[in-house]
Amino acid sequence: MLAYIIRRILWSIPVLLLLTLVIFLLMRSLPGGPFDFVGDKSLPKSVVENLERRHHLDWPLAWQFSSYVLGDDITGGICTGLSFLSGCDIVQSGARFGVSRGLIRGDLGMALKLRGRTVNELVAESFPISLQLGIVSMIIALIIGVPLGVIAALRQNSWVDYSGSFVAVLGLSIPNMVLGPLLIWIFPLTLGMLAISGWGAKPPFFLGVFPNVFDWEFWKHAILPAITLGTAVSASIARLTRASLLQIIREDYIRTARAKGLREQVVVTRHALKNSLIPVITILGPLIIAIVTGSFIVEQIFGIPGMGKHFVTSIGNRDYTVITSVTLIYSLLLVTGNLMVDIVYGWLDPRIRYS
Amino acid sequence: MFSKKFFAISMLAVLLIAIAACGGPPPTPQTITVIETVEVIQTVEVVKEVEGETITVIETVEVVVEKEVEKIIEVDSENPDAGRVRLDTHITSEPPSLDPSLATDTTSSFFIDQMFMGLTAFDEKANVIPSLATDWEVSEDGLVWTFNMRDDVQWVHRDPSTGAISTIRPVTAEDVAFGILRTLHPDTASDYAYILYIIAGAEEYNTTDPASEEFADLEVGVEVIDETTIQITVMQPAAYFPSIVGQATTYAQPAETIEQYGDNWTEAGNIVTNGPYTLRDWRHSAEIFIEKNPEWIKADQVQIEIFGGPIIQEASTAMAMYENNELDTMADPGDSPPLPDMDRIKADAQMSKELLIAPRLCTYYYGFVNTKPPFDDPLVRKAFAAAMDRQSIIDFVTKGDQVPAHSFTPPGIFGNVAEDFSIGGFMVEDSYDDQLAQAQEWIAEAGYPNGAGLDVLLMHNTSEAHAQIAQAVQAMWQEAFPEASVNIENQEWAVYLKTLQPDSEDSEKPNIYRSGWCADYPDANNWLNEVFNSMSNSNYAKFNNPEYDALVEEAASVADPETRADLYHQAEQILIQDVTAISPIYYYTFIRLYKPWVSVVINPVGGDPVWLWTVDAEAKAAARGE
Repeated sequence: MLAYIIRRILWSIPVLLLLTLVIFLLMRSLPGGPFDFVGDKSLPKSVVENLERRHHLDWPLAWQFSSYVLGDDITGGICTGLSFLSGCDIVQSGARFGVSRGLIRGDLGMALKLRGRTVNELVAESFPISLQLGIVSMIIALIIGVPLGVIAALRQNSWVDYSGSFVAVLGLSIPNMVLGPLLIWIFPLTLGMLAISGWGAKPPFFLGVFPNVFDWEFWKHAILPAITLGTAVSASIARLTRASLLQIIREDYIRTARAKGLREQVVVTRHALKNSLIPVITILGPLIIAIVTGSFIVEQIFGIPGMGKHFVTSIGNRDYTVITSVTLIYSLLLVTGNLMVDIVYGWLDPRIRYS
Repeated sequence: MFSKKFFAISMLAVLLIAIAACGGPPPTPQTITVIETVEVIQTVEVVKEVEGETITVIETVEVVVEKEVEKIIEVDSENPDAGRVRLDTHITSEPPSLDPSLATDTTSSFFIDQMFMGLTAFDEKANVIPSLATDWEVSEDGLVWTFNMRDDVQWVHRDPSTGAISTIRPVTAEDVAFGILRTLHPDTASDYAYILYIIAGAEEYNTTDPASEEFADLEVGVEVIDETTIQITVMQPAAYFPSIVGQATTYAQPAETIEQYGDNWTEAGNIVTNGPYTLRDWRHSAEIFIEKNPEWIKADQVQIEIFGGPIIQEASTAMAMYENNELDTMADPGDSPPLPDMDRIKADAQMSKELLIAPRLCTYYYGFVNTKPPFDDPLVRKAFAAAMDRQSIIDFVTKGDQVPAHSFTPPGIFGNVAEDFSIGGFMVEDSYDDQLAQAQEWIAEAGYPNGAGLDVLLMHNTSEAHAQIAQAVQAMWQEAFPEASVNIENQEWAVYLKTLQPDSEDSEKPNIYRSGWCADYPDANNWLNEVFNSMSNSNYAKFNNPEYDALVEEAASVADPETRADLYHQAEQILIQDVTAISPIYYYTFIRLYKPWVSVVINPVGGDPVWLWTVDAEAKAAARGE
């Protein structure tokens, strides 16, 4: 098992590197650059040149990529070593600015459009908030989804089942941008409870991620966006729980348990429910990643300073370093999530073995 | 057992809702020690000289003593600023930079203008007024400007741990010179450096590689005469120069702070400022607050002590907070009220009174690519410009009481011709039918009766607002020229600008493009010369007229205001009336909401002077139920 995990981790490195390269090239193939305009106006060439030189965008593409991954000094070092290569003089004249220490040393570079800010800072201040929102949404989705699915399965084809399915379909089909303002209208505006916008937890966070959950401020701001984000997920969980429990409940061993004369309650909770939750638990990883990466609209509606905004606006801004880095972090999350699911899967169902 | 689990889960849900219902912790009473001066009556022995003899007398006198007193005060630990006058606004997006050399957007500029002073500033009518400079004069040849500065403006710093604001040192001419040179230094890579190219040697300094040998020998025409006098030499006489030194790129900057913190000098706790406010808190992407600078020259006139709020990009969310009395404004540095809410706001008895619509120094226009047939023919351009019902666009699409435009330079800018309807009058006739008839006559004269044979591409950058205007205009043109085919395309902003750039291929370009221009400084030079000079790279129309170029270049260099106004009049005559290179649509307005307890002064150029605003704190507290 350990060997398997290590191999998976090692494999993810070239995958992530390749992905970085693809994003890097895709972004640069888009017409227009980060400094062609400010607001509504375009900039003179001389000014654009100053800006591009500052951020090494005047370097050949290969040097830029090398600088992003390995850092300026290593890129510069290769250059002096193989001084016959073209582009060497450019590197040396531009080397006055240390733009990046390189991915390999954990430096994601400088943001191009937010002057003087490093991408590391952007990620450190926004990613924990997106993650907190994601986790709270997931908890709410589970609290609503699992009981709903269980009840629907146990009362199959009754009115409970039908109305459960109806609520699930409704939850799946209401878009965030409708549900969010609707919740704002109901709770803060009409009932005068909970906050309209903002985020209640401020850095520094415990272990860099966890907010103080005993602080009312946190919940006041987190509940509405988390419900908005979690509703669709809770609907999927409810449907999955229902389908899985329905299948399990028809298995032979359940019939045996009933034949033994066990009470229905014991049959369901001891024997059926635990097994029926296996598929639900295994999709939690991908689901929470989908929530964290898909939070842009909810963050927008509720004015939450999360990472979704950087993910979306950096494309329009042509902020090469931000978009490459944010995508890289999301991919890292995805790779980790998938690995975790595989591990949990093997632990839940002993029949699955990795070799 | 199942029911127990289910019970537990439901209890958790109930708990969540219960949490939602209860409030925060109550204010805690605290004991603090204060030093008070009190008058006490004491009996003391006094040595007195009476008639040459020294005697000791016991007297009862009042003396003033300093005493340490313990007091129990109710301190709201959550909000130590309770009782201070505060204006709650929202901020539409994270300011990309609070560095005067680097800021380019309105949000950043708004905050910079609250925290820093320039040599000059602008009043609510966009006139240039003294600020750091008390007065200025120009040499007879118009090339050397001398500014005399006040000596009582202080650099201040706010200590984030104690909240104390302390003075550092006075602002001097050196700081202004440092600011200008820093903006121009190629390593600073300032976007707006080009606005200072009028200063002698500035362009060469800004465009030379700083690693090269010749860079060290370059000189810029900025000279410090003494602590409070600065002399700036310009390339050519420029009557508008006093408005240039009201731009943030020329503001005084604290050299030692910038040296100490580098790019991070504008963070709260690091920043050193000299304006009516200083930076109190900047949690990136979350919130910004500024606080009154008690050491400022006119601090006794500043009523609002804390100004700021959360960064909210979604205008409808901010609108909900405004209606819930959580925000005092829907205005800069935040969003305007959302367009879909406009009809409701105008119909609402209370909110219609809170609505403030004021002229703004921007023009929305459609440009014709003058080199691309069939729009190389002025008659075709005039016909299309005439066949636009500008008032209907304003009434049914933009809804902000904008003003139909018939000139490029809007009212309020020096050199505008908005009062003279002999220029572009055919675009804003009283009756749209007259315009329509004229358009059809012109298009027939150009050889395309009823628009037959015309295949027109109109392009705008991707945005719902631009799309709605484009569709309205498309319908108007289809009605005017039934046999023409008019198509709309949109492109994402960065791609769009690439397409429009004057050196891009004409085959890639549309026939007609949407654009807009807002004043950097309130002079027609910023409009007619910087946009439509044939050398300008904002000249997407590829309008190239030597006579026009000569006019605007002459206007830039003469000093006499009347001569300049006349030259700009002639230039607009060519641009709009004679060859109709572009079709202006409307002059922008500010559309804002202010709560009745806020009174404001609005500046059309630069950030609004918050230091002149007031808040009726009692009315505000009452409305909030506090």
